[in-house]
Amino acid sequence: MKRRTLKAEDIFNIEFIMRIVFILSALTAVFAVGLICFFLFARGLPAIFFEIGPIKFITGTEWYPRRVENPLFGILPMILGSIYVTAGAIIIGVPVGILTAVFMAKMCPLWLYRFLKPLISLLAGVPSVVYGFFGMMIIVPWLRDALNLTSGSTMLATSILLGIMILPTVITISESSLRAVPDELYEGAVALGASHTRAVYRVILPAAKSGVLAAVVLGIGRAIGETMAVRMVAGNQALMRAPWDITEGLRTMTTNIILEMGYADGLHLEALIATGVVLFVFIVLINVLFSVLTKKSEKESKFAGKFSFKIPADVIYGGIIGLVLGMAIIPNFSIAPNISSSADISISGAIVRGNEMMSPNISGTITDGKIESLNIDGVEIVTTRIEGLFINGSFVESSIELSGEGGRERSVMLIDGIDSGEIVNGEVRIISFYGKNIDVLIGIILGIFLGILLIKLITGFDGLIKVMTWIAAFITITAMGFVIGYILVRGVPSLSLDLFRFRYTADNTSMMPSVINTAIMVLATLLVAVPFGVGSAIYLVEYAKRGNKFVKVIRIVTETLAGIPSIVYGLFGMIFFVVFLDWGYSLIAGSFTLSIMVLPLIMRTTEESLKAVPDAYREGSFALGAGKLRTVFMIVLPAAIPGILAGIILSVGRIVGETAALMYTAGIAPQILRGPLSSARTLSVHMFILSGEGTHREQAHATAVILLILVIVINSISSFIAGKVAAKKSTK
Amino acid sequence: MKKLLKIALAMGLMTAMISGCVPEDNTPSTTTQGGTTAANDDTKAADATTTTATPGNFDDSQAILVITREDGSGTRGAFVEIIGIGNDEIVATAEVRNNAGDILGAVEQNDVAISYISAGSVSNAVTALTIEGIAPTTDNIRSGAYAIQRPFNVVHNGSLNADAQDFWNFIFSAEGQAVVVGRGYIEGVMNAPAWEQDTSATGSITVGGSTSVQPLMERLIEAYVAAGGTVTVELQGGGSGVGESSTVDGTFEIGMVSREVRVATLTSGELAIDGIAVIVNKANPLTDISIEDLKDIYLGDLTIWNQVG
Repeated sequence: MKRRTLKAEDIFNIEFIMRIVFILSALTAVFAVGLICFFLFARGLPAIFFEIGPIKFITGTEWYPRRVENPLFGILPMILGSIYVTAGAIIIGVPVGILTAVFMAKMCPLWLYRFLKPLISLLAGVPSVVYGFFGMMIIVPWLRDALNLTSGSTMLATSILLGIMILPTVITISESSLRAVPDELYEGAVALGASHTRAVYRVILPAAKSGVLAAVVLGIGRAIGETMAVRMVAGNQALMRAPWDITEGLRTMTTNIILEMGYADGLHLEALIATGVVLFVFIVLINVLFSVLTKKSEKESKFAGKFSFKIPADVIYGGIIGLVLGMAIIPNFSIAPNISSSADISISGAIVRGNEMMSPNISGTITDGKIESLNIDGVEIVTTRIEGLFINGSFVESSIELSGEGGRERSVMLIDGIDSGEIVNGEVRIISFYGKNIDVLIGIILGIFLGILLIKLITGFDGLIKVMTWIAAFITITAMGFVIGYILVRGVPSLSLDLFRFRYTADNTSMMPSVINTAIMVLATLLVAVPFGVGSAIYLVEYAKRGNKFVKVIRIVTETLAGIPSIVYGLFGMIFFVVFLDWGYSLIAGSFTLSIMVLPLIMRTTEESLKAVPDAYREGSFALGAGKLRTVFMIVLPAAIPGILAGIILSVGRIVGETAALMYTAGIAPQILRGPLSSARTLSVHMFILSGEGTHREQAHATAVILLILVIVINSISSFIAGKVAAKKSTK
Repeated sequence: MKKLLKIALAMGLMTAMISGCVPEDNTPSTTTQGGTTAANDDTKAADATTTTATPGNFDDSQAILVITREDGSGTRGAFVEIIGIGNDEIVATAEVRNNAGDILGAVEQNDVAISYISAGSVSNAVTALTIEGIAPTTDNIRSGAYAIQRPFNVVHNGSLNADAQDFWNFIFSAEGQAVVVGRGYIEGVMNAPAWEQDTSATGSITVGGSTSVQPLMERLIEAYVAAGGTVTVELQGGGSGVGESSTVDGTFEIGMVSREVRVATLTSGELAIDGIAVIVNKANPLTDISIEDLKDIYLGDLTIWNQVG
């Protein structure tokens, strides 16, 4: 009798203690967000509010952080830059992604699907440094040729690259939400006489709207937070750009941080952290906006049928074709008009040498686009050669060869009536018109009309959309083929045994120590993240009452954590773990930073798989007299393990591919680490460092191949586990 | 049948797109050089595809693409100082890259680009220009004839512990300076004494800072270990600014700074001298440039290649 009561008490105690433990682990996410807010704000906000001024910081258009007198910290160009490239990525990536998802879910032959699905998960796992390489070596030169630009590092290049990078996210999530739509809807549509295409696009796609929207929001998050890849293709000029300056370079908030981080100190460093704060606030705003949107769409869901994709469809699909055709057309036809009438334009200006004005007055006449005569200080001169280029606005930088003096002079001339153009041997030609690159614009508009007209004329609506779907799938496959092909073609020939020595030297640039460090980093991160993630998921599913306010807070916080860009994690890790806790660049600083980063992922997947365990299991266990704790650990958790494992594998992928969050937390020491406080370079960081030195590009490519193989291994493990989960479900 | 037609149409569109994107005209046009007609526009596109081709195809009526290191970089600081412009005066439309690898990649891919990197990082995929007739060779940098150069400094906060002192001694010994010369840099100390090892030093230290000094420091650490050094030296990057600040706060025992040291409280030593090479694309026929032109290019006053020289 005595023994029995003791036992019951014991269990009560453990139950109680474990309950507290679960609540505490559920609180870690809240705690982490609190820490991130506090330390980022503590380091960033004083600079914004007391030193720079919030309005000057947010709306300032000039960024001269290191000027000794009157430094300028305006990040409006970077805020706009982030918005532009994200919008561009959405315009390019989302239509293609959604159509590809439709293709994969509803139109794809099985043999193709078997090949496409792993390919897309492979692409999802490719580290962004690799994408950056691809962008710099393939997209940038191609755009430069196709559009006849001075540099291909432009808004357009960045948008295209980000568009490709968000494809896997958009496709995967859209596809699964399309598959989740009950078959009855499709059958009903077909029974009413709709064709397959019509049923898919008019019934299934609208029904999957909220999932597709979630995919788009995740895509936005990925695009706005991307750092390492954007850095290599954006041009990085901190200049104000208009939305139509798609052929100009720009700088985003993320790249602003990563570019100047290494050399920043004092107020400059604080301004960079403040940029991180603004980025963080941005992400939070997007999340809030999204949750408002989903709430709204839930309310409207009974009218779902009314909100079909009909209208945007034509425009968006036409847009893709337009973009494609536009690019095909531009290099072959120059549509830019020459100046025909001299009435529109006039010349005025001055000759300058350095910053000095030599002759203050130039005037001249232009006839049929040719500079007829030129007067300097009222004296007509004979010119042998005038060359120049208009730069934004109406002034010209040009050089004039004066026949009399024989020397070359630089001049600043004003040509009214044209915005941007060039003078070749006295002939004035327009490149662009009021900032818009007319070649590109006309090409695109023409392409849109041509594309829509052509397909619609031939095949009608069904055909149009069907062809579009196929084209989207084709674009996806091509893009992926290019990325993977690029890595293989450049990397495989560079593989050598030297790269797998256990000791790194500057000569062999071995990646083996980095591989080992990566494995240790993964283990160390999971060691922290898994107990907390699983614990908080257990609390949320098993202990918390539904509709609990606390649960809501944790959900929102987790969403926020999930959306924070890795560069912001990197900033936080540097401020908190490296400097504040004084861990230095070390394994633990890196692994703790990454733990917070993957925590939401593990929480979400565990939660989902716990929810998937039927209540009957729990009831059965309780009925047999088991306590709550015993039920959770002996019955529910084992049943949910495959799902939890899948989440862990996803986290491993994320850790392996991470660069931005590790650079300033785990450091870059290339040897196998010697202890928890020693710095460790993971494989992705190794690749980034090699590519940065410039002399080891071949080895960097070889590293990319190994990274790719790692991703394939991780993916096959996760799909194996996922397969097991599915098998289990179907036997139930 | 209808389906077949549609697929054919889709494929047709795609091939049209692809063929449209790959300019067929790879043969250099004869009207390229100093072209006076509107055909110039089209030949430019053709020229751009032959980026890696022989210099003969270079169309010098193209605009110059100025590429620079980011604000705060030691390389940039030294470069602007030597060509005589302010750090903020670099033309705002210049592309910004933050390491030598990205700069090399960008210049390799673009025949109108110009940039500058550490002379030790120059690869043979780009052309290093001579400055007013003087090439960035070690002899010219040592004699000072090649003007664009800067020091590689190492700093400490005034009191080195025994471990750091041992490595510091190695850096400034004959053995250490031999590594410097072996990597193509100029020795910071002439006639350095032979290294006297402190075998009692067996701890570990962290060296970090300038990414420009990093490759050289890597070799120095390896040479130190090979010579029997017993201190474990960990190398970190960060940049010249981090090299200074982290040495002040004690994160690094020894900091690397690839420009003049700004923090007065730090003790510094000149490890090496590095030339900064001005690089252009292989297709660009230019081999020499004057400081004056370089200055005008980076100020944005010179915008077209045929104005150079």
